[in-house]
Amino acid sequence: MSTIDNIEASKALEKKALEQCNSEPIEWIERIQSHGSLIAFDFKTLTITHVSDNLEKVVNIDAKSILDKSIRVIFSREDIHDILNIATHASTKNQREHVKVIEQNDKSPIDVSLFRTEKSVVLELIPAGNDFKYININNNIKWALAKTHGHENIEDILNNAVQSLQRITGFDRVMAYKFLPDNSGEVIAEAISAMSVNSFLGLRFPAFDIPPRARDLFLKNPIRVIRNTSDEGTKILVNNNSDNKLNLTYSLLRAAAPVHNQYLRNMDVSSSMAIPIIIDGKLWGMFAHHHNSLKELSPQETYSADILGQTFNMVLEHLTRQKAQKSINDILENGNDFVAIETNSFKLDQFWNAQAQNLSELIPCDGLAYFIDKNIKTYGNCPELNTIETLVNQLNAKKESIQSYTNITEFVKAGTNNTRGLLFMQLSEEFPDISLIYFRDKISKKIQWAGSPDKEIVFEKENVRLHPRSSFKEYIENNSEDSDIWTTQDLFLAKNALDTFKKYIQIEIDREQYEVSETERLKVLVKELNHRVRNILALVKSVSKQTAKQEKSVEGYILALEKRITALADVNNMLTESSFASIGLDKILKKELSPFNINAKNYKIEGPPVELSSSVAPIIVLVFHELTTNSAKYGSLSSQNGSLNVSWHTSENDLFIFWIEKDGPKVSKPERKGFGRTIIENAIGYEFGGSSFMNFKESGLEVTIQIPLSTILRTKTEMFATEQIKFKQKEVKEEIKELNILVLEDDFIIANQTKELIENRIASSVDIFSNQKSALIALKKKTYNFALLDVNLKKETSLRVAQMCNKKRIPFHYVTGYGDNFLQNDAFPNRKVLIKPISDNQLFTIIDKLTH
Amino acid sequence: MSTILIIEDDFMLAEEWKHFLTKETNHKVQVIGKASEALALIEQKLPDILIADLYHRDAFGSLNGDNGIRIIWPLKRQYPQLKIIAVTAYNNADRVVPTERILLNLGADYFLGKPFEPADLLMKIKEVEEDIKREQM
Repeated sequence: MSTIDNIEASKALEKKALEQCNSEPIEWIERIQSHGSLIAFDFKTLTITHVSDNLEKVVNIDAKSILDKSIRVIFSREDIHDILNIATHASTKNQREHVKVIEQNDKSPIDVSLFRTEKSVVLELIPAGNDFKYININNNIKWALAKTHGHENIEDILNNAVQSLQRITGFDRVMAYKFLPDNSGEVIAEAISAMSVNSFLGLRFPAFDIPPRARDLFLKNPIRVIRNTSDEGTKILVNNNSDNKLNLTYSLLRAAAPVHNQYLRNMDVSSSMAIPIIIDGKLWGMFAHHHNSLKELSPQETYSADILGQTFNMVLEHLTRQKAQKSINDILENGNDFVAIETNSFKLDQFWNAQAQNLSELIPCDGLAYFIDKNIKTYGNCPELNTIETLVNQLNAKKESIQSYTNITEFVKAGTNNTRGLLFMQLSEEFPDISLIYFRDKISKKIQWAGSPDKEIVFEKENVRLHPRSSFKEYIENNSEDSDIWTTQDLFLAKNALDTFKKYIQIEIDREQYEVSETERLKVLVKELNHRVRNILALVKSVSKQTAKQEKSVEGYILALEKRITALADVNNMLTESSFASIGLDKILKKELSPFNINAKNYKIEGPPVELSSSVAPIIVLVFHELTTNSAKYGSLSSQNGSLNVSWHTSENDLFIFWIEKDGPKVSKPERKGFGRTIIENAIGYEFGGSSFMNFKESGLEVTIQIPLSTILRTKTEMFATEQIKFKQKEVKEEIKELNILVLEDDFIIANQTKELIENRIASSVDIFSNQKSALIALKKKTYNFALLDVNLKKETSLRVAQMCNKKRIPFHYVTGYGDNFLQNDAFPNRKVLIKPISDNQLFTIIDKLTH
Repeated sequence: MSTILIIEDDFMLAEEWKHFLTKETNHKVQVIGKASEALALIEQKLPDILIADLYHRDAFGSLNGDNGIRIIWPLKRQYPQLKIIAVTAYNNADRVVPTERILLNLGADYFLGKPFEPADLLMKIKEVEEDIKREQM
């Protein structure tokens, strides 16, 4: 055979031997340690089914003679009563319970304990010893616990625990092992009574020293005593009717496997006791007790050690949790956000600056990375960013929320830098995808093994068996490629942190989403505010120009302008109060008419509650302002006898408003159509697709206004077509225009103002439209030379018109009161943007260019 | 569901049964450690079923102790409708007169020898309830 063949054969044998060792049925072993006896009887019939061959040595009864007999033949009726009472406890199904100590005339008292298997009650009879003495378990526990007070470090607690256990039990050596994730165990605390005993402190014991089956048993049985490592044990006899082996999971007397006895003997151990340390349901470590000579441990001392061990378990579990929680709380209490959704890089930076160091101190590491929604933040020694991303993708695919590795080169080859170890925590699986990754550098480390961890194999007839190593002298293994191992403690901390962070993150995601919606609401509000301010400035500009045209004196101009602006300011105040949501129609009217409520009220307002949206209100206000001003000058509000009745009602689709003046001065239809009348008659139709009819009756002015409800309530995205609004000036000049200009603007006054400015400046025909639909129809029928497009048209944008102009190669500019945010949408063709209000000069510069 | 009173000096065992019976069914269960205290309770409110452990550790085998066995006969005479389940770890069927026979003669209606599973106790209670139903028909 070649060398390679030999190596392969050796590996195969080793594998077979390990499998054999791991499958050793240790709980079904048919022997017990010979210092005690065992009797098992049927739970229903009380018939003895199993007995240890050594019964006579313990209770003076021949073992074989009692098989198939009732349990009553051995014990007094009082003892039977006590045994059966304890056997009735359900707890005996998964733990051994003490029954009593039975005195014997010529022999040592016997300690009786029992546990149950599926069908049987198993009694364990152990001589209590002639020097049986009362052990004050309470005092032992109190003393041991008092020694742990004031210690917050787990290592300190373990140091105290091994000291206490050593003093109470009297074993030569008591060690505290900590198991590592690879199941090897490291001695982290030790108490030694005799100078002759070697120290194992700091040594590491390989995983196969405690096979998986034995580990499982440690989780179920809180104490394991091997009284004499040279004891081959006593056979358990089985009655003829039962071929079942007894399950000795909860037994104190279960015989040790020969290989284990040999292992202990190789360590010069004659007696041993092990108390597992279980934290969070997992085998965290173990208190191992060794004695170089035979240790006569009384059952009472065993109970005492058992309870002490369980108490230490509770202390350690509590401390571990507390410590983990404290570190986590420190991070959480720092007041920074774990979740910085999407591209909120400021928040992410802020979080990382404050938390990276805290997080790095939670679990010992050389670096760490925080991965949130493709953003990566690093701290300390980490792999390259793209390597981290690759790692996260691969680890996410594994669907395990905590993963640990000591050599990441199994996942990635490039960009690892010095990093080898990785502890991955998936904090959030869904959006936002959040992971926290701890890194450890590769280290040149020395592992101090308790003897060479290489397994030894012996052949036994047809089988191969592992042979326990004979030397436990320090054996140094050098390893320079892996990182330091992630300990059970590290993983426990990671699990605790993960659970807490997950809950916290969920709360934070909910909060952040709420904040995002709140921020969005504010953004919309500010946008609306900007829009309104710009529109109102434009409106004020138009109103002032129009007023100037009408008023002949400066005083008249100032007065009229002031009133109009005040009316607009009032409505703006009302809108602000309602966060630009809506205003009641009655509020507008009351505000407008309140100056006429000085003596006797000569007006009446009545109608159902109607809320006007912020886009509708200013125009309605202006309409009512003009009507009121007109009435105050020439109508019913100008005389003491006059009366005004404003009422409204709604039909299925429309709001109808009736303005009826009576008993004022005689009224005749004015020949001139001023700005006020233009607003009253045309603005409603233009802006809302409604209508306004003025009837100049002799008895008083009567105005009927119709506004589609859909417009007021903003339920429809498309506004009504208003192209049928014709202007006298347009009809007159249409034939001689050279340039056709389209103005898409939802605000009637601004549209009208723009139209007048352009038409007065250059030879042109300006068509104004308040919505896309009407503009698009016009674009199909007519060729335009230029267009001005207001971007935001109440519930729609001018996108489609812009695209149509672009398609038809019509030059155009955007006009917006919103800044250019809408235009960040790539669908909008790229054109010049004019911000409202547009100055006359701005407009003239643009239109003058058209003529050249 | 029946109201049940348990006399058992092993309080852990009594609580185990109570937990099982109230978890599995809607029985109203009360537990008491001494027979004399049980008598006082029964005088206030008669349960449907009495589960009585016969001998307690402090007076084992004595008819004069504060045991369940002491009150079976007087209770049965005063409240013939009360159903009594006698439970005991002192259940020797091999005696000349088996324990069960003695108890039934004393006035117990049913018998359960320890050890038994809580499920066995529930089955016994169901049996008692069936009998109560039959008698009421």
